[in-house]
Amino acid sequence: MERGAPFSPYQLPKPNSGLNMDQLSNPNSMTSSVVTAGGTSDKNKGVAVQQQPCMAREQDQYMPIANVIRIMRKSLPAHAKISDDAKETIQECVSEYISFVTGEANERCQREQRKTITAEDILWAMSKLGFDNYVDPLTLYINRYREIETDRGSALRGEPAVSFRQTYGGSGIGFHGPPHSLPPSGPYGYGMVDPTMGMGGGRYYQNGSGQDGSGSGTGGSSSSINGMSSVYDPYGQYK
Amino acid sequence: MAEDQESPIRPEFPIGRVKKIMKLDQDINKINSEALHLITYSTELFLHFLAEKSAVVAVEKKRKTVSLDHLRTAVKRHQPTSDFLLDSLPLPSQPGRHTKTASDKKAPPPPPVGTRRIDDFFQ
Repeated sequence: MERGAPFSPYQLPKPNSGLNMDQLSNPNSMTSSVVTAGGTSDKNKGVAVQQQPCMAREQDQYMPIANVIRIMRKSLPAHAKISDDAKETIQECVSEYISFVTGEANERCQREQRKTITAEDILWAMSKLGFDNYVDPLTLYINRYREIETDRGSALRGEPAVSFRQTYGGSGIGFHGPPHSLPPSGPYGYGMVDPTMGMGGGRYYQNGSGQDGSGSGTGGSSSSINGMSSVYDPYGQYK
Repeated sequence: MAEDQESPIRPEFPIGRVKKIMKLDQDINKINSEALHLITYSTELFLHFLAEKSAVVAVEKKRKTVSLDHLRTAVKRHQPTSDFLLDSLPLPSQPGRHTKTASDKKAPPPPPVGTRRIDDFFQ
């Protein structure tokens, strides 16, 4: 899945070209060095071990290029191509960005004598560095993340609201009361936040009180939903 | 199912890799899981931003392929990004990490006229 293996074809020729020169007189070693860097000869192994940590570090310090390209394609027109050097440079830019924001957040942590970087530190760093247009979508994101984490916690405790949530089919926002009026998703301009924020407002379902019958249990079922039905009560008018 | 709720927030980038990159800095101690998710998501936003702006520049220059120069122009146009990123971009003359050196190979020049091969002496 990831190109985390240290023996990618890009790095191999460099150490091996040196090896081949040294071992021209030794055909056995040459074949093993060409096949894998973990070959049988000691010299081969020695050089490979020295090269290995460098290669692993280079791969690990960048985001996987496949992910980078996939995300880029979402923002680019369908027919657009990306040059190879642009792909690699963007890979490096992404890592620079991560280090940059993290470093700034970490400085704030240290000034306040804390050891753990929190979400607030990150948001503060983004705003300070001039990326405040990210702060809003990020705040929504983290709120949703927190709600989901809390919901997962309540699900483990076995509260009856679990079945309600499963039929909702959307994000967890609005679960604790009337739907929040989310700001329009237009201004962000990235398009990727929109689908996830789709609030199917008409998809509230009654809780598992279907045993009450098709319409006769209206009074009973309303009261069992703990005030949720104040939002949407489709069976309220049935008579 | 739990996956329905998770998919709206599942990041596109591997979180483990983001954490490794953060840890490359020796000063960084611990990172909250929320902070990690935030950084990962914000990195996606940043990448979208870079891609969009670079594509705009490519279209302006009537090119279908987004090149390094387009990226550089896009970075320059956005002040906060330019402040931290411009110096990291490779110079136009520098090759990328994995550039092939095929163009460096040249055929050896032909020998001057009148040269005799050494074999001629032994015939």
